Amino acid sequence: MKTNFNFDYCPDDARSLAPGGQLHSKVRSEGIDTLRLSELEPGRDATVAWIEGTRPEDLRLAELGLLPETPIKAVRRAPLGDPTEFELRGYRLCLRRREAERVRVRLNGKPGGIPRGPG
Amino acid sequence: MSEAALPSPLRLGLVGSPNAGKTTLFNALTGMRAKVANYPGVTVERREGALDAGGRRVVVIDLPGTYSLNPLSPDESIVSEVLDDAVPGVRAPDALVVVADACSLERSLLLVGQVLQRGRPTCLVLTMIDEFSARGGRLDRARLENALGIAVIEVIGHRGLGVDRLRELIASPERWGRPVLLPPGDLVERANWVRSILSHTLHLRPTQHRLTEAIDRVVLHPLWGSLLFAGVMVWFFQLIFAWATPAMAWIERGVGAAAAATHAWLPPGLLADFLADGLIAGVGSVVIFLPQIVLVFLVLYLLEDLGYMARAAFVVDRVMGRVGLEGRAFVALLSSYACAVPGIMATRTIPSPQDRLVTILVSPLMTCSARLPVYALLIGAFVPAAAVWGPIGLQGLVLLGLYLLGASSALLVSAVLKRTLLPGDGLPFTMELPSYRMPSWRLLVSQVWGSARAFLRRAGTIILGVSVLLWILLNFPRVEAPSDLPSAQAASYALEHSLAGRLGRAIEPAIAPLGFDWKIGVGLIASLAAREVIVATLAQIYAASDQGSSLRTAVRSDRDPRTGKLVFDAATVAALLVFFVFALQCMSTLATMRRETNSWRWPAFAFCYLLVLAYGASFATHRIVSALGGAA
Repeated sequence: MKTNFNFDYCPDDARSLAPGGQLHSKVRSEGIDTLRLSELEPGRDATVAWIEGTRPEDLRLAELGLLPETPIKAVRRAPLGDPTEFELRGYRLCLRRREAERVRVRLNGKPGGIPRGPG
Repeated sequence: MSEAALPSPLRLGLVGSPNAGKTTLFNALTGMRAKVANYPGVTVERREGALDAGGRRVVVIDLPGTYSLNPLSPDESIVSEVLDDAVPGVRAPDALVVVADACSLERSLLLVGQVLQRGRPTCLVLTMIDEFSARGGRLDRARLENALGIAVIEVIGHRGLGVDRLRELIASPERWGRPVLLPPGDLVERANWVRSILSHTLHLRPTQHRLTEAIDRVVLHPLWGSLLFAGVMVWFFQLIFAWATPAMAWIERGVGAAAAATHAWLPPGLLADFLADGLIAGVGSVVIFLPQIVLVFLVLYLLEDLGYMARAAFVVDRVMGRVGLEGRAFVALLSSYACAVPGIMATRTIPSPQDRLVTILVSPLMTCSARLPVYALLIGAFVPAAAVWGPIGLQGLVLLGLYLLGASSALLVSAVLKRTLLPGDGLPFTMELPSYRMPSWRLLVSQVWGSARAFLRRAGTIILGVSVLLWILLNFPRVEAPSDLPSAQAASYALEHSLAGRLGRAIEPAIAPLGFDWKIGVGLIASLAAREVIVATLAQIYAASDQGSSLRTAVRSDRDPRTGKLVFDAATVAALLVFFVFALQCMSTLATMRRETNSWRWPAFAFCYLLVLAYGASFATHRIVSALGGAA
C-alpha cells in the first residue's frame, strides 16, 4: 500500500481558494463578521464565507459544497459532542470540529429555514 | 471528438458519489452476475458486469463512489486514473453515466461538471426521484437536459423504473448530446455554473425528508439515541449467536454425515481417512461458520442500506477518534465479534486507507466466535461455577473479562499503530448521513450472496490446502500402536508419534515458559488453521470424546509423568486463555486480509505481531498467576 502519496490535482480548481483569490478577497473587503463553522450553534443558519487554507483537504471541503454563499445549517452535535451534523445543498454532512474550524461562515439574521426557491 | 462508432463491446463507466444509488443501478443493469476483482496496487474493489443493449454487448464498470475527481488518496485516484486510461490492464470507459441523487443535485452537479470536462460521451441519471417528489422537490428534466447539453434520465433504481429508458440510451452513445461549452474548471466558477443551471431548472428545492428527521430525533438523541445504539448492538450479537446456532448444528451434522458416508463407501485406508478426516472435516470446520457469516453480512448490509450505519458511526466517532480511528471502524470491529472475515470486509466503508489498514490489523483481537469453544472448554473445566453477585457467576465474569481484554487490546494496538507505523494520511473525516430508505431486497441479496460466495471460494482454495497439510502432519508417519492398547488410546499414541506430535515435542522448550507442554503444543499447531480445532485435537490426544465432561475430566487430572505436577494448573490455564485472546489462528482471516490489502505483507505482519503479543502476554500471565500461588 502506498503510504507516500504524491498526486497532482488540477491546480485550476484551487485558484479561487488561494489567498488573494476570489474567496478571500470578496468577503474580507466587505468587512463582514464571520465565525467558525464549528462555533455555529445547532439550529442556526449561516452562509459560508470562505475556507481557511489551500491544502487538498480544504479543497475537498469546498468540493463537498462548502463554497462561498452556500446556505448551511448546523443540525445537531453527536451525543458525545463531536462530530456535528450540517445541512447544506440538499444533503446532510457530518464534520468533526477539526474540519469545521477551518470554514468561516456568517450568520443569517434570524433562525429560519434554508430558502426553498432556487438560487 | 469524431462521430465514429464506438468500439464493441462498449465500455460504460458509472460515476457518482457514494449513496447516490449507483450500485443499485449497476445491479439493475447487469443482474447479479458482476465480476469482482481488485484494481492493481490498491485495495479498491473493481466491479464489472455486462448487458446486451440494442443488440450490442456493453460492459458496465461500477467505478468507486467519489465526491470529486481530485483524489486525496491512492484509492480515490482510481476513478480519475481509470478515466484517463492510466491504469494498466483497465481500458478507459468509452462512455460515462453519472449517477446522482436528485435530492442533492446542488452538490452532485459539481461532480457532473468535473466529469463533463473529460469530453467523453456522458449522460446523467437522476436517482431517487420518488423521494425527491415526496420531499416537495420540483425539477424540469427537459430544461436540465438543455442546460447541461446531455441526456438526463430519471430513475427509481430499487423499483427498476426508468431503467429501460436507460438501456435504450446505452444502446447508442454515439447519439448522446454533447455540451456546447465545457463547464468551468475552477471550483468556484463551477459552483456559479451550477447555480445558474439550477435557477433555470429547479423550481423547488426538496425540504428535508420528514421521516428521516423524525427518526433521527430519536436515533441521534443524546440519551435515547445512545440507548438505542446500545440496544441495536446487543440485538446484533444475540442474533448472530442465537439464530446461527441451529444452522451451524445442521451443517455440523451434514459434514459428519459426509465424512461417515465417505468411510462407508470407500475401502478403509488412507484415501478414506484423507477424504473424510482431512478434506471434509477440514473444510467443514470453516464452512460451519457460514451461517454466522451470512447473518453478519445480512445485518451489516441491511443496516447500511437502511441508512442506520452512518448514524452509528456518528454516535461513536468521538471515542474512535481518541484511538486514531473513526466511527465507521467501530461497525467493522463490532462485526469481528462474530467473525473477523465479514468484519475485515466491512472496513471497505472506511475511506482513509491508513485507517482501514489499522482496523484490519486489529480485527483479530476482537473475540470471534471461534474462540468460544476453547473458552468454554477451559472455563468449564477450570473455573469454579461459583456465584459472585446474585445471578452473576465467576465463569461468566471470566468470559466477559476475556471479551473486554480483546476489545481494549484492539483499541490500544490501534492507538499505537496510528502513532508509529501507520500515522494518519491527512484525510479529513467527512461522512454523509443519507435519508432512511427501504432497502431493495434484490440489492441486499446480491450483496450478501457476493460476500458469502467470496468466503466460500476462499474456503475452497487456501483452507483446503491448509487442511490437507494439517491432516498430513497429524497422520504421518503412520505408526503401529502396541496391540494391547484400546483403540481410543491407540489413536492418542499415533498422534504422539506423528509429525505434528514431534513438532509439539520440538517446540516444547519454547512454550514451556508459558506453562505449555507438548500436547498443548500440538493443539496450538493444529489451531493455526482455525482456533477451535484445538478442542478436537486435545480430544484426540486425550483419547476422549470432546462432548461434555470426559475431555474436561481428562484435562483436569492430567499429570506430567516425570514430575507428577498437573499439566493444566491455574497458571497454565490462564496463560492458555490469554494466548487465545491474542494469537491469530485462522486461515480464513489471513486469506481475507490478503484479499482486502492486496498483498501478503500485511497478513504476515498481523500474524507476527499478534504472535509476539500472545507470547508476551501469555508469559506475563503465567508468571503472575504462578507468583500468586497458582502453580501446582
